[in-house]
Amino acid sequence: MRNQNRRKHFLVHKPFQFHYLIYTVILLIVVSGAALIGSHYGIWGLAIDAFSTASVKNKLTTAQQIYEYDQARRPIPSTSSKTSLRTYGATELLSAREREIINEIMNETDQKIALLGLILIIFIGWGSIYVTHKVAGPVFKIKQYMAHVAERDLTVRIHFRKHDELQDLAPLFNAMMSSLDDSYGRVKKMSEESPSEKLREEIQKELSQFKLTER
Amino acid sequence: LATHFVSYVRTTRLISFLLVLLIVVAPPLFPEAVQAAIGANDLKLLKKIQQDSFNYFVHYTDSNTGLTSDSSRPGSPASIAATGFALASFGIATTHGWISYKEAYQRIEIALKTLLKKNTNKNGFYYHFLDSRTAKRIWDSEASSIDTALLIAGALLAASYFPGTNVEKLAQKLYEEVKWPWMLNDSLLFAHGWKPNQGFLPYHWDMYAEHLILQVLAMGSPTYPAPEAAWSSWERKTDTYNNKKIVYSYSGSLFTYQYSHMFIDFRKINDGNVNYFQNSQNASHANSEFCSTYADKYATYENGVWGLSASLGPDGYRAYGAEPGEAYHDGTIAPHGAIGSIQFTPEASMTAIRNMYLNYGDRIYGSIGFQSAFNLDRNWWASESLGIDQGLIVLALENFLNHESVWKRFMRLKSVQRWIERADLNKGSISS
Repeated sequence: MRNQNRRKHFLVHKPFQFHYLIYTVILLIVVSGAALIGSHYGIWGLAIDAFSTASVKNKLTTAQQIYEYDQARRPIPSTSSKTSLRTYGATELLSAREREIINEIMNETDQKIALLGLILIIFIGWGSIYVTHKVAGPVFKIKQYMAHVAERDLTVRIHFRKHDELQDLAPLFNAMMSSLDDSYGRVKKMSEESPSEKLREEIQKELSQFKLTER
Repeated sequence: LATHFVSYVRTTRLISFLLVLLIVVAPPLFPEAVQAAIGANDLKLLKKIQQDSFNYFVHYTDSNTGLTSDSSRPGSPASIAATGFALASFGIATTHGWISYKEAYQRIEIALKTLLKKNTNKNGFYYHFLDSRTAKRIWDSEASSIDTALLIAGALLAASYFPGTNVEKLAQKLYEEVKWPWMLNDSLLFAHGWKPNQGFLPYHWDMYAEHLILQVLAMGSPTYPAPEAAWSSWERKTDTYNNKKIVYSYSGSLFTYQYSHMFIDFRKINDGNVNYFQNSQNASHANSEFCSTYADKYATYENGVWGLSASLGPDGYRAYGAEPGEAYHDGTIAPHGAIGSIQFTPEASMTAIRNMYLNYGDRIYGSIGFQSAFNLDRNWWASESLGIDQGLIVLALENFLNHESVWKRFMRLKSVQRWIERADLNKGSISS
């Protein structure tokens, strides 16, 4: 029996499995797209802005100005500060500023990645729950119904939600339960209405329809 | 009869002497008298300049951090000195109705909270340049002694417009957290600054300059006062220009004679035989006369235009100045130079201001007041204004136009009185 039911292909239920393949691919496209757009505009965009022509010009002017502010306060003859020295001083400042900018970009990148990661975790988490709910819901219901059956309640019937997976399981289960309910119902009725000899025969006849474990 | 005649002559001479004294001495000591002598159109112009200059702080102060840009140039970092002037200017603006009490209060409170919350200082000394958006130290800037003093002075002045409020508490906290003796670095001279990767800068406030406000706040501190000996440790080098004796700064630049005087009323304070109000008056006259002397060489100095002060120039930012001192100049004039001296030299300043505005206003005057500087000889016109220049203009004109209101407020501070006592001032006689 086990050999008869052994799965020989991965695609045992094509619609169901392809359905989940599409879900997973869409989720990955969304996550990758968000990461790509986020890094392009959020991270590299910062770097591109920081090193645009206008920005570099501004920084160069600011570097010169800040260097000259310092010089203006110091007891150094204004005429002694040659252009080469000023350029050197401004370059040092500019270099320090570039390092600060890189650090700022890295810090902002870390923060943005952390934030993006958090958003994606929430999104993926929500997506996973939504998707798995379609499977987990029916499984949960079946588990509950089985518990009822274990307590000998043969009146239970399964009703799945419209978009739940395992829809084809419900009619089979319900047919099985109807069959059992019907059989046990008839056995019960016979035991109530027939004399005992005839009853035994009828019960055995009824039970012979079931495949039972040998005892 | 003879006795009566002698008595009459003596009385007449005395009256004449008093009249001469009143004419010569009173105007400089009592700017209101001079203000009256300045025409109505001039006063209107000065009020316009003050209000327009204030607009710099409205436009270039970040609404989230409250920090003010060093310059109107795009990408300029925030400067703590400019922020100090902004705080003071917002306070002043409430009295004129330029902005509402509530808006001024909020702007000041935001700035003070930013400075107190963020990691913007070392032992209470604030980094010279901060990112106006994040309030982080940038440009490898130093924790600056003089810029911190200008920030604190601005904050304390601003607080005086909002007594009993949270702004007053925050400003006082900002002041009380400054560990002034630390910047002395085990000496009696304040260092220019300190950098995390370098330690104390190798320059000190060792002669007359703009650092008097730093000395005042440091000696008057209720929490970490500088030792009394710090006041007498810096050198008072003296020289003369056109017979005017001046305790001079290295550069001879006007701003060195002005910054501290925006807050402190030095008219009745004598340091030994030096009166720094009179000193700045002499230095301002010297600056004006120096320019006049070179008017045949530099066209910018013609028509009574003067004002050699630190400013942008055709070759970059320079500490332009006059004698005595290094007196580096190339024909570049900073409008804030003459305006910042208006309480010292009202008439000469007014002449320069009027001519600069009327003759070159279309090139150097806009919605935020004057641009930093100009140089006719090289056909160079600054394309930006600096926060510290506009702040100097707002405060100088406030004192001049509004009954010395900044001086009155600042001189009432306990810290200022403490400095006067600890520095043992007011015991000398005034020498001209």
